[in-house]
Amino acid sequence: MIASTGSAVRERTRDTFDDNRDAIFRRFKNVPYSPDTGVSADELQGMADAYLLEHADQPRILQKASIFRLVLTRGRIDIDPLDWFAEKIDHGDVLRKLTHGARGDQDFGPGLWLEEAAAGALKRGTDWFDQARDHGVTTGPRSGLDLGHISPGWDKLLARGLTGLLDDTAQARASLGDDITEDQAAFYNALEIVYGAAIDFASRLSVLAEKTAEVYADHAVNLLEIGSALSNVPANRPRTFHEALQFMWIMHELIEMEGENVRSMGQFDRTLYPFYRADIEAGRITEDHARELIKYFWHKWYCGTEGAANGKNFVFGGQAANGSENVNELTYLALDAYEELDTPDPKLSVRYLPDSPDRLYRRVADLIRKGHNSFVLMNDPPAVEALVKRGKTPEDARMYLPIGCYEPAVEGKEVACTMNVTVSLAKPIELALNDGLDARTGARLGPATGDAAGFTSYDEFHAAYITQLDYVLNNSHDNIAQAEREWPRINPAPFISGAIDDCIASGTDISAGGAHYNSVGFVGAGLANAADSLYAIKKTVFDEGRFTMAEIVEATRGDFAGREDMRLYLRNRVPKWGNHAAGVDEVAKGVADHFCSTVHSFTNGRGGGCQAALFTLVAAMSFGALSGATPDGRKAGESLAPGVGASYGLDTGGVTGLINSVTKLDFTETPNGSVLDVSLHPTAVAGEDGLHAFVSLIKTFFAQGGYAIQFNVLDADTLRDAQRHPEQYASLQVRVTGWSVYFTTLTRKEQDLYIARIAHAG
Amino acid sequence: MPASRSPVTESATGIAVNLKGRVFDFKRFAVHDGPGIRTTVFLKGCPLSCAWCHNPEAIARGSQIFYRPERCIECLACVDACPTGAQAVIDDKRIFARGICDLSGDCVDVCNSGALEMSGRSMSVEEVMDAVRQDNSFYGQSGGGVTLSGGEPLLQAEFATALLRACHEEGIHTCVDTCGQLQWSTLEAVLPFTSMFLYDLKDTASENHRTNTGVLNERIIGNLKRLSETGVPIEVRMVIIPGVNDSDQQIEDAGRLLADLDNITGVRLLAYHRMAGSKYDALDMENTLPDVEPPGEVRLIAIGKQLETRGLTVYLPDRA
Ligand code: SF4
Repeated sequence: MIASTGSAVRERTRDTFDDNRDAIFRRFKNVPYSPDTGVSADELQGMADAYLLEHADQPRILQKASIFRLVLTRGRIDIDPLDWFAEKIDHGDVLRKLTHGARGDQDFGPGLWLEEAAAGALKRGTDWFDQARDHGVTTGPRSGLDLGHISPGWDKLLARGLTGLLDDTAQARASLGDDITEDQAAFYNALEIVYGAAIDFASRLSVLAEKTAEVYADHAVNLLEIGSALSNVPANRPRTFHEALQFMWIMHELIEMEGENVRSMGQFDRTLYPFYRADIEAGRITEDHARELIKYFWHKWYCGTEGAANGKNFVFGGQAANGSENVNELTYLALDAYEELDTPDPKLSVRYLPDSPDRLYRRVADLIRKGHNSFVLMNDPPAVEALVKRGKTPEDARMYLPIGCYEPAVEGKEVACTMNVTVSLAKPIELALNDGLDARTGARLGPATGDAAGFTSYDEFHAAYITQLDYVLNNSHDNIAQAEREWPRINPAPFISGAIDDCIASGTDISAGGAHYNSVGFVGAGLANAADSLYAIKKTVFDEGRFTMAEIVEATRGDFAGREDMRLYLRNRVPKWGNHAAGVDEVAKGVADHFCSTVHSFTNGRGGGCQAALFTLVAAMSFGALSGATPDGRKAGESLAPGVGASYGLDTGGVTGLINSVTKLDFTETPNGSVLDVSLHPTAVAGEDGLHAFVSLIKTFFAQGGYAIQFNVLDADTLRDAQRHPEQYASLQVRVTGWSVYFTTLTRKEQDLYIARIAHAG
Repeated sequence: MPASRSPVTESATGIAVNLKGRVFDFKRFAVHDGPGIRTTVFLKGCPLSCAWCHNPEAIARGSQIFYRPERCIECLACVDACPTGAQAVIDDKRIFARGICDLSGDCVDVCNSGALEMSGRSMSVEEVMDAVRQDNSFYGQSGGGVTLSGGEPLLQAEFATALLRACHEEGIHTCVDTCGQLQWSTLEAVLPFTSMFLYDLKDTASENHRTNTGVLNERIIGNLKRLSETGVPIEVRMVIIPGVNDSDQQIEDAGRLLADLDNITGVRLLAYHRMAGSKYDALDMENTLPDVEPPGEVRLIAIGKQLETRGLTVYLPDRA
């Protein structure tokens, strides 16, 4: 421990994070709420139900705000005496049950107001999305309404505190004067209710922390620190690094309780640096203690997900609004903490600029090759330019945060619903081959584009494909726009709205389009399968005359039964996307261009634009399972290609060929993000030579205009052994298009696919 | 098979761009075959026949056909296509009678399963350059380039020289991975176009060398000495095969030899492994891989130490 420089360095408790991590995890999962602290979750539910009955005519935003206050002022609370941060409230998901229902990791049913809309105003669209999902055409949130990708303006929140937002509210209300509408008045009233409640809640926790400190004298240091922090935040600007972390954590929990999913925890090294630096300079903190605090802080995210579900993103590097790079000593301190923590959550992203320090490249590459697979590496120039092209100012675009995996949104100014819909780019191939019918069930999923067996040119097939794809895009767009217009009645969210410009100024909730930028995300999945299939038809039917259209139609319909020779020709003898082969790369680029420009022609239901992305996440598997055989030689039910890269095992041109192909795409046209998954054999990146090559590979990908890249550095033998002895590999992390997860938590099928891909990389 | 001599087209600078050679593989993102990210081009043919060879397809100069029955779907397309009857079905069994094969490659052309694969394609200098140029940006970023390997790449002397010269003229860094069993004039011819040599030192005991590789080592060591006087950087590579070439005496002799030479950038130790067995099977070649375990880390470190005491820089195999 570094000696005090005058003012008090807080004496640390003897125990370390590592001593406490397991106990904290257990208590997080099973919180021993004391009845002395408030009413039970069941009682809260009863009180909420009664409130709604009594106030049936109130605007929903006020109903929600009032129940929010009820929960925070009356619910049971708890503080773990071992912890350095507090947040626990036994809210019973009262608000989520009311609005749009469960998060991915919870099992209560759909929310009341969402289901009311799905069965009423949004019935047609909901039915369409349900059918599309069941047939592998699209996937996404219920009714096409993405309420789940959001980040508050962390800088602004920390600078102003909730009392600052209350001041802003009063001022905005005053400046509207008599012109204020009923909706605006309700919104301002709601803000006052929720921020007042959050400040009260923090005070309750602060008092509990001090009481707990009396009982647990051994842990008085951390408990008193929590008590002191919560007497100040989130009401006011944090006075210390610890208070800033406590502020962010409690906001995360309350925003999620209100009903949104926080998907970015901000730009860690820019937002938190002033607090860290001030503490160091004043001698209030040591580097060691800061690292411990970061571990306690990040452990919360692991406790929430256990490395098995959607994670939360913290981003490093990148640039400030004026273009200066964010990297500082906190960047590296946090990366050290992450290495010591050794868990797959939270998810870290690193934004790179052309002149980023070599140390940043090497440190992150070294972590990745040591098995910390959670990292997404992003290339700022195309990411920023893509946002500028869609109407953001350069200053705003530089302040993007990866929301979730790779989808950028401007911090504090944008509600980018990045995953309203994920569209299979491969399914329209099946529909074009079958006159708009699903090959497996015969259901009509698209327009009749004619009997493909009779097509006499590649252009004719290509046109049918585009018609099928456009049909999906147009329907998705119409139905999403419709759903967004219902959003204010489904999930108004005043608590987060106040932390996003220009909601307070305009008196408008985010659900009603109050954000400065409003966008909707369309994600295209399975680019490789679409491009490889189109090219296979072009080459084998119309260029070579090797097969007829009738044969292709019949063979794919029959899942290549009796035509294994044909399937192998299509799979192994026709050039594939991801190998730097001109013909098929051109086709892929055409599909991507069409998808992106069509999406960008749409306006969404909040008046903003629609933004295209190219990646898959788990949709590669789910779409594949519901899709018939395709002319790229893929059999029915097999996974689609992951991310924006080649089909499994077909990037035979090696990683450089893969990068050369993928960077032919114009990533300034994927404002909603994209990612290339790369598997590398451990020997390829071992030693100093390997690290140098690894870093050079990343730099080349960026220099060629690639968007984001993520890696798995594993050999197949290790994974096979992990299948046989899962107990010995509980901590083995792998990255599956977006999520770093524990290998042993994957299904057997996913594991097998994974191994096939890794074996190929070797 | 020597480089063919059909009508020669010359580039502006006089390189015979349509001169053909026999290439059996490309390895992209090669990171341990010289500095940076490289593309290693493997040329067929080798004057040695090392028992431990992990590229058995590299030894013969002519093309060869790999046959991997486990991939065969018994579609019999090859049987129809084969002009000599080498691809056949006898007693309900798919067989490849290599003895009567005339290497037409017709079977490979129709085999979509990957069961049949041609090792050794005739490619022109320009075709190879097209392939290696694709990764120029990776070379530039990493300080990498192109490595010629084999077999012994300089056995196809004219082709290799033209290739190296073409790379050199385009500013691509070049490495030649050689066994050294060559006429000095062959090495001398590529010197102006070779940025660095990777030089294999298999065994300092000459008789033992002959037993395991088919030739004595005098010429190899003589060429190494001579090459070290030219100023070109040389990385020496030693495959460590326990019980074959790793006695204290053999290592001591190697250390003494190398310590006296100039321009040795370092000695890279490679750990012998037996993972090439399936290739021998697929070529119907007798598997000559010594039945010994790969050298352990402790032993490799000890060998490294022994060489380092001679003032040599040693690179141990990278542990993944
Ligand atoms: S062509 Fe290939 S798959 Fe068909 S029988 Fe011959 S070796 Fe087997």
